[in-house]
Amino acid sequence: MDEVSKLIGQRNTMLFWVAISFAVWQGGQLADEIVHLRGWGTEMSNLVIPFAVLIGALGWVAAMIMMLNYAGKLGRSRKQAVIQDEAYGQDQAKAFRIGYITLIAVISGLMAMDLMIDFTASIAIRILLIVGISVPILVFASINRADAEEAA
Amino acid sequence: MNPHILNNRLKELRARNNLTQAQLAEAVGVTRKTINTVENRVFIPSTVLALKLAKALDVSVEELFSLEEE
Repeated sequence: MDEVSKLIGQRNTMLFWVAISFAVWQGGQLADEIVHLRGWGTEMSNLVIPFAVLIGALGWVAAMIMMLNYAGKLGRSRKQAVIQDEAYGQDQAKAFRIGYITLIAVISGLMAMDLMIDFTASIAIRILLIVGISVPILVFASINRADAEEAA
Repeated sequence: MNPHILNNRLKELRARNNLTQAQLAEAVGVTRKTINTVENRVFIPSTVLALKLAKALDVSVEELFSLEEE
């Protein structure tokens, strides 16, 4: 495998880690807020939710280390311009577009839900944070992985 | 909506020059995936990349790319 393929593979793995660990970490915090607000706490939820938050937070730290490692490798590589070529820019724009549409859909959904269910601003913000960060990253990594498999 | 489809002879001309997608990608400074997506008409390259591809394959841009009306 050449250097470009290795760096692209590493970027995809890192992006999946970033998106999933962030969703697990913040999703755990969100679940904790909902459970406390609704008074749904059980022995099981008191065990599972902090565990999910811990795993997600550790995964996020690991993802940040992977990101620093990748940035270092990319900075030292003469292939940086190749890896961030025109198709990369197009995929990035597509991922942002899908992320933006998803975010608008979730905001609309939250506004509709607000008419039926009581929830705090903090819950809404956390949902938007998870969707706004994780969706575009996951879409970008998925497009890249699918294209890389097709090109192989 | 754009009523045109951008056709290309990239695969044919690449084969004529005995180049793999990876070798052509290396020659023009893009990833193999980009060459693959251009060949499959998934990605429309910029003018700069079109000129680089034409140069690498020793043809004119018009020989490499053409417009087809829908």
